[in-house]
Amino acid sequence: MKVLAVCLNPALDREFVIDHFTLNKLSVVRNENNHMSPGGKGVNVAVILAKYGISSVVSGFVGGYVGHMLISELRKIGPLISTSFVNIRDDTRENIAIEDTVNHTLTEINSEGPFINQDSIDIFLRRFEVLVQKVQIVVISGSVPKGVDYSIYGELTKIAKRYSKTVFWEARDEVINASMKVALPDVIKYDMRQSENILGKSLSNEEEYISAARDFIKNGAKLVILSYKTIYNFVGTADGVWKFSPKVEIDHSRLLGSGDTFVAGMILAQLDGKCCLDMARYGYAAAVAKTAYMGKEPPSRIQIGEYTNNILSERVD
Amino acid sequence: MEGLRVSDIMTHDLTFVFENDTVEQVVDLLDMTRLSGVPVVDDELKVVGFISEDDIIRACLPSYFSLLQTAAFLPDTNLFIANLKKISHDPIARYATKPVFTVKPSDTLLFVADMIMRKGYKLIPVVDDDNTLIGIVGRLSVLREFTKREMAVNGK
Repeated sequence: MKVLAVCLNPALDREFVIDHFTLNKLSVVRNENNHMSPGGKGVNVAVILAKYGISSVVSGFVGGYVGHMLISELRKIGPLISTSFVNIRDDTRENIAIEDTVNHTLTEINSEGPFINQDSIDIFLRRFEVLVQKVQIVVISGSVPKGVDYSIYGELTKIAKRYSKTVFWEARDEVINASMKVALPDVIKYDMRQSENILGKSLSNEEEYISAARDFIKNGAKLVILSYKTIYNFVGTADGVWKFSPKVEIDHSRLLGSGDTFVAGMILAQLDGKCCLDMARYGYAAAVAKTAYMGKEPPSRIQIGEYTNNILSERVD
Repeated sequence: MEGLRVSDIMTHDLTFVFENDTVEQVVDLLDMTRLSGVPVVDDELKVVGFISEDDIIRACLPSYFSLLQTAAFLPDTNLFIANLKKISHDPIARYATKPVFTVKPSDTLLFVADMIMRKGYKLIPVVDDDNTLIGIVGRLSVLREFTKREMAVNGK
């Protein structure tokens, strides 16, 4: 196992394609229009890595019937994914999406997710310490379930750093903000899908993003990636700050999954011996390559290689 | 059939307990995972034992029980429940099977099937060359695989 993928709040994603979807009416869905897949950002990264032949162990909390279904779906991916979840009594969350391709509507029903008690957190922390010794890289990605303190990313990183592991985070501002006070990872990638806040402040212009990237590096991060206007990124390293832009037109409807592909791409680059800016470039190329087509499959390594020519990285600080 | 290995059917699941986890925690875990038993590991993920439902049930029965033909001779049926409560905070190491039988991914399925028949194992931990836990193999997986192969032989 090369990677420990932590997904504290995994989900079972269910997708139904129902044309002419109408409320208060029975809809019978054909089997081919009913898809079930394991979800949650950490899980997604592990699934993408498996497509590139990288083995990982996925850990977090699962519970109830939905949790069993999630693990069962994850096992179908193949032997490159091992599972080591802490079991809880509450049900794992389920995200239901109903797509109507005729009326172009998307109806989403997401369950609230489980509450994690302190006993389960303690069990998880002890298991994490055992598992972390068996891998090279730790990626902690996605939301934090109820009952778990936002500083959990920092607590896990503190343990991982005792064993000199490379740690990647992708999370929202409140998690990064609280966790940074405990320990810093090697790579921070902001999940800015729901908010443009960075360290509690709402950023609006490029100068503010550059300054924020600089601050993260000053505080000890080796690499920070701040998504800007969805398709751009400000990337900070000890050598400076860069702005990444695509040289090709990006179809915004194909952005789903590109953030996880970015993280998986960086992990691939790290395993190849690349560092810092080159690692970020490779991850960005993978993310841009992912937007070239519909579907969940990640781009091939050849495609990523080709897309390294389709991105622009200009030094801005 | 002879070419089939543990690696072909093993489940890459790392559900485990530590030696100082309590009986109550293990019962809870078995209930939630629907597993009949779990490997016991040390702080380096090395397998040091195996704890099953059977082990816990045995721990709650009087030592002379194995000599009896039927549970009807137990002096008090509440004894079992009282004993379970009594041991619920004990470390699981006290009741785990040690040393534990493990297999490697390269072991043949025929070997595993043989051990299941002879010893009655329901779940067997799969370890690497360092005795580190890397998964489990269950008897249902073996049965499923053999059934599949048998059907292919019969051309069904």
